[in-house]
Amino acid sequence: MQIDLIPILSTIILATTIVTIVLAIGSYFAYKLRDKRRTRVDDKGRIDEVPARAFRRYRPRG
Amino acid sequence: MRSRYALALVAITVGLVAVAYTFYRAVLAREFHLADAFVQVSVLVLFTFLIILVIRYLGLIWFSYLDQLEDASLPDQGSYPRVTIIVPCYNEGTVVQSSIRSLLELDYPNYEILVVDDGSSDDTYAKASSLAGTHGRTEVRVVTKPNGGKSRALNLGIRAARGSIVLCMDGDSRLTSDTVREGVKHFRDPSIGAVAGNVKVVNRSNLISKLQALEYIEGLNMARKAQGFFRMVNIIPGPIGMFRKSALFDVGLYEHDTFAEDCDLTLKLLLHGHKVRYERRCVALTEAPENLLDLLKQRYRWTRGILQAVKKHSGLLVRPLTSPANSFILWYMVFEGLVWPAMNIFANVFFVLIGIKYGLTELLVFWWVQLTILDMAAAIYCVAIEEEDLKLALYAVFYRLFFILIIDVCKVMATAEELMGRQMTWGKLERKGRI
Repeated sequence: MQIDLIPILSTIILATTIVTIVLAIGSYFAYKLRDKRRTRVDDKGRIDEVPARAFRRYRPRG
Repeated sequence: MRSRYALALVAITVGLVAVAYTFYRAVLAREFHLADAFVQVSVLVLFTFLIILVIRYLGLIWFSYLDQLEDASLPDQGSYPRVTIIVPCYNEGTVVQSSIRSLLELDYPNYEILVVDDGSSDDTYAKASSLAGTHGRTEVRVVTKPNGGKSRALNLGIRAARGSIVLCMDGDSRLTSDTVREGVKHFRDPSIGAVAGNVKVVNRSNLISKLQALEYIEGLNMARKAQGFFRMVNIIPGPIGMFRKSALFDVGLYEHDTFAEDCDLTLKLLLHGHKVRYERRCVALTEAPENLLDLLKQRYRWTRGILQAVKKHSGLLVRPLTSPANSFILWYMVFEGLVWPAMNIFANVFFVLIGIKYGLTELLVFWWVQLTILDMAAAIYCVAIEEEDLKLALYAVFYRLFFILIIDVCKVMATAEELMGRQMTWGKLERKGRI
């Protein structure tokens, strides 16, 4: 029984891992694409957004 | 509650025994015909990953347990300092009145509600103002300002607060009735500068939101609880944080140069010598993203924001002797935010490769089963301690199977973009109004 189970489990795990990695990368780029489109809408003032800004290095006061 | 502790203990014991057994079956009791040095090193690397995971889990569980023991012995102090609840709102017109009404029902004798309208373009200010005034012993005040972001709204609220303790929350979160009472107890110790609350996902309608509910309990709260034992919680969550007002002025309030102002403020408090605790009964209910792209949007901002906050205080990373404890916290954040996700992706990809190329599928199964057992044991422990629905622990299988990997890929990509200095915007998560 164990001999049968392990190949099945390993196939499921392998397939799921591969599909998940592809899904993760794909959905990340889908999110970026959607974000880019929405930002373009923001520039026309139809959606509220704080303007884009880059992180500036912290300088301690004093 | 006693039976929940027993369940938590059983879960951890069974988990450890199961991991030890599968490890024995996978490595010690079998002779793998490892093709070459490459495969041998691969197997060594992957089991090292597993051992680090075990140590990480055990460390978190152990210290969170110690914090739990301390927590149980903390009595109600009998005195009730004035607390100001600051509610920053931006275009919350549809929910602001119900938010204020729910805050008026809190079980605490001495508090005020301060609504800060952050230049909303809808009728938030008018609707909130209609509830301004005195309601029993509680006063509701409403102020408005030009739009400038949550951190500026909170700073305005902190300056206007009349209480010695302020509670900062999100406009779309809800507090449970004894949240303030439970949080205030910790401020009896004058060294405590802030208390991180317990954020719970209220919308558990689909797999993604249920997995987040589990993640908040297992991944976020367990870590905060363990850090709380050392009084060094490194992120006070945006939906619920209580602060000593003098400590906030001591560190210069919220700043606006990172995308994780809550993390930045917490680090500043720690670096200035203020202690930060976690209180599991200080609960804020929040709405989690219900679809994958919104979830990634949230995690992308969290990852980059945390990295920005770490960068901002990075001097301590290379000068650990200045403040060893704070340096440790920063290194821990680098590990959790950067190293650990990369290791997880590497381990998955690597194992798939050697599984396919060298046929080490049996090893793959044992390795994966061990990870899942660990997740499941930790999930049962956390769900039991947090007095949550035990069925939630069953989702630990999906959590390991795909959720962590998807989140970790997002974290690594966000890290790469942060290191490349790509621009980003705040964005506003679209809520479904489940609260």
